[in-house]
Amino acid sequence: MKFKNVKVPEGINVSRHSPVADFFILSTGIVVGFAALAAGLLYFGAALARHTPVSWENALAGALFEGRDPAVNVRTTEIVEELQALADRLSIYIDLPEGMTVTVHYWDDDQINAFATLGGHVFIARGLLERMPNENSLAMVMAHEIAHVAHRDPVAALGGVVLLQLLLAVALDTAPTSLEQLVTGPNALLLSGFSRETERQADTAGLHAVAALYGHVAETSTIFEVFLKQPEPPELLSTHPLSRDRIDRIAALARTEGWALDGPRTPLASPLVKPPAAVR
Amino acid sequence: MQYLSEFANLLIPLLLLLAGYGAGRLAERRHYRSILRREEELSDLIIVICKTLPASMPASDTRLVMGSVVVSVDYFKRFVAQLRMIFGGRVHTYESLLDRGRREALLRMQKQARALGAAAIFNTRFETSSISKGAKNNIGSVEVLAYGTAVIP
Repeated sequence: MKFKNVKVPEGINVSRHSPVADFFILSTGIVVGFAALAAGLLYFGAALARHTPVSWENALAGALFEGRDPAVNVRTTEIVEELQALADRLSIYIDLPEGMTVTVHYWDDDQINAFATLGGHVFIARGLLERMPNENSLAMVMAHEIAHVAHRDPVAALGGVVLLQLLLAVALDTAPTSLEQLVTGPNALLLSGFSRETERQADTAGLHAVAALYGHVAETSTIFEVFLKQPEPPELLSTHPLSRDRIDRIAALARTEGWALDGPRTPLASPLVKPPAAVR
Repeated sequence: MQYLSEFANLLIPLLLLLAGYGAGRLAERRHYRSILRREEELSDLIIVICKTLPASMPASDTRLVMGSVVVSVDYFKRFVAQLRMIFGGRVHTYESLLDRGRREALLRMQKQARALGAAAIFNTRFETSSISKGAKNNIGSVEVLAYGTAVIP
């Protein structure tokens, strides 16, 4: 018998496979998978939260906002009263869920901004109020925010974020120490925007309310005209649809619903004209 | 300060990945060059897995010879392997680790046999064990042991 060592060809036990390619394929898979899971949780959490009782939302809002009211003085009280009166007039035409009431706050800030949050609290910033030429234009903003409250968008956004926070807590092994941390943690604030679809629905419901209150939809695009004068991020980066699209939607909706695009303007109530910065 | 520490949290694993990839690639290439050279040099020292000697082979003495090696995988490859463990499939990045371990162990066994003046090694066996066991998988190393009976003419 004759023995001989035979040279084994390379590349049988070790595949000539680039580890860098493996790295990119696998990490892309993980990122895509995690993003899909996160999107699913956001959607599912939002859907669940919309079915929670309104009393729960009010209780949560009460716990979160208690003692955090901005400084109030006589001038701002008048403003808040006028804003609240407008909100009450519009609320008649917006189908609010049982037990939900709208509470308007005046927010002394230069931003052109207004937002609705848990428990029917709506904030209108001074910067926005200063740029509203009449009540009709302000009513569109107010009705839009009341529509968010009616659609329960704030609690839906929170519901999605809470589920996502739980996923992150499990994935990163960082258990939140309290419910409040879960609800108000940095990620919650970062992610608690509304989707563009909910914005469109709020536009539609708001427009219906404005048309019902004034009999026409004049000045409903004013807020978006104001936004158009500001530098605007591309739509992909923003949850709000582009202002130009929203103006077009309003015109299209007015056409199909048969609303007049023009009509008599209602002047702003005197405390809302040139609203002062709160005296501190 | 907080941003700095978060930045460091992200940067350090990234640097480790890069360093692991660079150093690991260099080490592997050098090792394979050395393996190929030494396999050529020791190719006349026969390795077989037969248990019995053929009658034609003279044997004045037989000895146990062993070659043992501990190899570690680099940070980058371990990271890729951990990703692979989520999806399943061939862990390509560990294949070269084990291949290098087995061939190096054989070479060390042959070297020992050569020192004894042996002509062949019979009944060659392999043992592989993971050093990481019990260390919470924090050490990605394997020990490969090759052993056999050196036949000295």
